[in-house]
Amino acid sequence: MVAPARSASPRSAPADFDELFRGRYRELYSLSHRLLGDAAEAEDVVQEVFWRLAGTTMLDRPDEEIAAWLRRVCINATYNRLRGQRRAARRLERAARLDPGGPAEDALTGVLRDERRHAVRRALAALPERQRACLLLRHSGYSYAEIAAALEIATGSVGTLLARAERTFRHNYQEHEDALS
Amino acid sequence: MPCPDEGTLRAWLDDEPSAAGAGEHLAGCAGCQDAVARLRLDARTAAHAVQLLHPAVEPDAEAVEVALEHATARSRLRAAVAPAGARAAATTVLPPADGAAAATPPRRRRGTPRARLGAAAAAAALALVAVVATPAGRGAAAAFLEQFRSDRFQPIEVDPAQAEQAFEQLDQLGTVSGDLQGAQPRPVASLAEASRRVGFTVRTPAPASLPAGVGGDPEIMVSPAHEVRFTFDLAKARRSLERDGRAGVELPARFDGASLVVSIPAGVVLVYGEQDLTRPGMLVGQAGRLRVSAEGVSLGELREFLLDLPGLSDATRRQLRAIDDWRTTLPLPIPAGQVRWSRSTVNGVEALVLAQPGIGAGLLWQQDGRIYGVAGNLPVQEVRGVAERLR
Repeated sequence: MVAPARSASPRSAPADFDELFRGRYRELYSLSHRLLGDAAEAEDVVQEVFWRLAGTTMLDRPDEEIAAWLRRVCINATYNRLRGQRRAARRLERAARLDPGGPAEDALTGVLRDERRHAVRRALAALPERQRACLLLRHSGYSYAEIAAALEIATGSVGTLLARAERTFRHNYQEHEDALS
Repeated sequence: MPCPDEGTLRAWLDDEPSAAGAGEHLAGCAGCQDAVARLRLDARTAAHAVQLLHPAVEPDAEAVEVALEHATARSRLRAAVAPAGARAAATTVLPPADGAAAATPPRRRRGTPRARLGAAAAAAALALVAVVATPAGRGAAAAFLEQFRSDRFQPIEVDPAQAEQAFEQLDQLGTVSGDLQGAQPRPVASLAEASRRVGFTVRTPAPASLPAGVGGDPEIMVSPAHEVRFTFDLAKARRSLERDGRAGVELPARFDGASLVVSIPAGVVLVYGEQDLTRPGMLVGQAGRLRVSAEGVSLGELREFLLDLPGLSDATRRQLRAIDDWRTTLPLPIPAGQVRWSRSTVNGVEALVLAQPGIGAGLLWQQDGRIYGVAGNLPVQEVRGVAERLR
């Protein structure tokens, strides 16, 4: 049998790993945080992602491939965590409270902001996984090519998936907004 | 030119080069202009909403370093834990049966031939998992666990990185499912409660046997019985092997849909002492038996099949093949060169001694259908003193 490439040079891995971690941590943290709304949980998810990376042969692949893998696994791990929390709605409420908008806000602005954020997460939660990931990635600044790589779909399909996701999202979100006002 | 589809219009809004051609059409098509207006509104709403979710505080450089440290400790831990747990049981060797099942020659059948693992790894795995799952225990327990990972009836010396890969490979060959979240160890208030949850009377160390500095009431963690299932997916496996340039590997069609089911018993772990490696600490783990069964094919066939797959090193394969009574022996991957192991007894029962010089020691044994493990950052004699006086 052919031994996996990485086991041939296990000693070179840690340096690559550290470098990758430093280079990608903030990005993945932000991605996970947007869905979870909880700093500690987001950190945990990202660690889990790198933890999985360390056990694969991915480290030998080109950077873009690793990045796509990390994003994909990060999103999946974040969903898993959301799913694992049975009472998702409760969870989301807590997340909204735990996620202050910043020190400068007055109380009323803070409350409104929390409500909004809560509504956004709810509307996102109601989307099918792929659509949710696509929408989230796009509006977090990823290119169509990056989204396609992370979701393992053709670049040409991103627009269709995104259009569908945004339409459903707006529908869900406005229902919440209407309920609020 | 026919009207572009919705996806193209959406991509055009984002200036995607592939959709550039739509611009010309749009100029002269009222229907598409309407469609784009709707798409734009949807996109703006989504953009605005996601904007709200941006973290208020981004981690600074120091936070990244701290996270990296945690992740590194955790990777090491995982390498230690995974082989001892069900995942590796599924990956590396297969499963044991005992008693009547062992006496029956393997034959093909549908249904669920239940097989029992006659090995001690589960307690170790549970103990490790308990600590790993406790946020406070995570970082600090890393080195402590190093020595504990290595117990089992048949230690198999492996490159830790490879054990990890074996699990990753399972994901490529099928689906791994199970309620791993729900199976996380949780603290319970009392020994009585713990006994009720695990279904047997939890034993405790005699107070006089506790090493100096380890005294006090333990934290009691219980993890429920749960099942982890690996279902082989022929098409997925083929794709994966082709990607890896191993299209030549033979994958018999009859394995499609075959499952390996690892039933992990309920377990309890008593955590003594501070979760701080500078002070003595100790774990006492107890669990029922690990069981493994196959559905769709026999365990023997599944074992042969998995042993032949690429991904295992030749050295690992050889060691696994050397286990004659594989139905009652759970191989325990131990990190080659890091952990010393030897055989011994606890109160006359066969036990494995694991030691990592300078870090700690552990003992693992099986008795009356249960698996026990004691480990700590303590000398072997002190671990043994506790193990021999459980009551």
